[in-house]
Amino acid sequence: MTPTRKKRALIVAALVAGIGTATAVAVVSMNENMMFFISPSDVLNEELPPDRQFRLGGLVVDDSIKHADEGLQVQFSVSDGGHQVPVVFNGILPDLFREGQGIVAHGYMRNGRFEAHEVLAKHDENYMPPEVQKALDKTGHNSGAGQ
Amino acid sequence: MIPELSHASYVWTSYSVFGVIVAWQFIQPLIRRKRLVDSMLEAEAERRAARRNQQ
Amino acid sequence: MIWKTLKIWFHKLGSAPSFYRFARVVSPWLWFGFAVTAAYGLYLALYVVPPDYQQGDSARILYIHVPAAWQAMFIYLVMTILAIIALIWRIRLTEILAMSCAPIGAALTLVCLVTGSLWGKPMWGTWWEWDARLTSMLVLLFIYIGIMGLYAAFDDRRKGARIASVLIIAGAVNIPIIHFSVEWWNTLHQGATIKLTGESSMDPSMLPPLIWMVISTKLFFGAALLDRARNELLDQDRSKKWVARQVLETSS
Repeated sequence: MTPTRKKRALIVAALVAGIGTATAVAVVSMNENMMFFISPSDVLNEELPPDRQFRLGGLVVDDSIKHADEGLQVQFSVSDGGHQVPVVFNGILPDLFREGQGIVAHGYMRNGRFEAHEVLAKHDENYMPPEVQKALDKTGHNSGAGQ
Repeated sequence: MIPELSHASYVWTSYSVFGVIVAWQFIQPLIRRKRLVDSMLEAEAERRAARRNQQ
Repeated sequence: MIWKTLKIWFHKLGSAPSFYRFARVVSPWLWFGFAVTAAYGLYLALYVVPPDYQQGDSARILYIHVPAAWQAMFIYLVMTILAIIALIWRIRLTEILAMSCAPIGAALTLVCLVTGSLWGKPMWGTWWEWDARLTSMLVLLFIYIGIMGLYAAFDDRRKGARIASVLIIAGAVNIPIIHFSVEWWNTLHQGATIKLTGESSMDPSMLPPLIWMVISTKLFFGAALLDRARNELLDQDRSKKWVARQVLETSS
């Protein structure tokens, strides 16, 4: 390489190193804010101010879904394996909402319950035909929805 | 012929978006090349006409 | 011996007229290859592959969404390498190729975002959420558009290409962020299905259309890149003799 090219290569390397470091620092320092949702354990461990809105993510606990007799209100619990948080929601649930499904609810904690104004379903990274799922269920292997 | 799909409108819209954007990537360079060649031919014709007038 | 032949071939291809001729001959074949592989891939995706156990037929969107996302990121990597070469060696052809990558990458990023949105609405219950994966992909689109805008803003094409190359290299940090966003942070978007190491979590019966679509988007990129680079070369060299020989004589 000629000296001018070497110099240009160094400038490019410095550019890459500089931008890379700056981004790494920004990413690490903003880590908390980059989280789309927090888990039930985080909710119970950290004292959150009562009126702060946040997103709660976890799996819908089996047999916890209770529909109100009238209207759209639904209650269910969300778990991350360790802790559970009861959720109340008034609205239309997405197609994928079901027991064991990962969901993300947006709202705030009030009197120990999470009052959600939006519920989104999270789907996992597993793709398989319905027959394969049936076969897995029969042998007792559950694919298990991702968190 | 056309398969019966659940969420059909979402699936077909997605495939159409892909088709339209790919087609645009095919057509846009063709249009640009035609414009370029046309403008060059025009300039060439003008140059020839100017030369003829001088003679 | 082989090295020398390669070097000569490389230098020959680097000259404007031979690249122009090469692009003119090769591009139709790449378009043809794209049409065949895409037709077969889409046929498999829509007619042959079974629906997903949870998502039903909406999972078929992945055969557009995933290859488009991968290709949009792959194009960025190719563009970054070209930009580095362009900055250090100042080879005009690599500048032109790097600049021609941006609109194709932007188009595929747009495909990825739109199809993702069309998938998110029925499955997640939302068209758009500001989670790390979705946001970083939107940033990729803006970077691509920024590169195109910066390049177009200069009358001196070569200067514009060099300045846009700096932006390309700076914007490359976004690529690992997109890739790892689903691992580093909680996101609404699910984790990677196809893994480079370890077992993929997709049933083998659903894989073939994905593979065909990945091949077809690669061929699409090659074809579109050659077409665009050829035009750019023609535009920059419009008053050169080789252009007159190549273009004016064959088309008049």
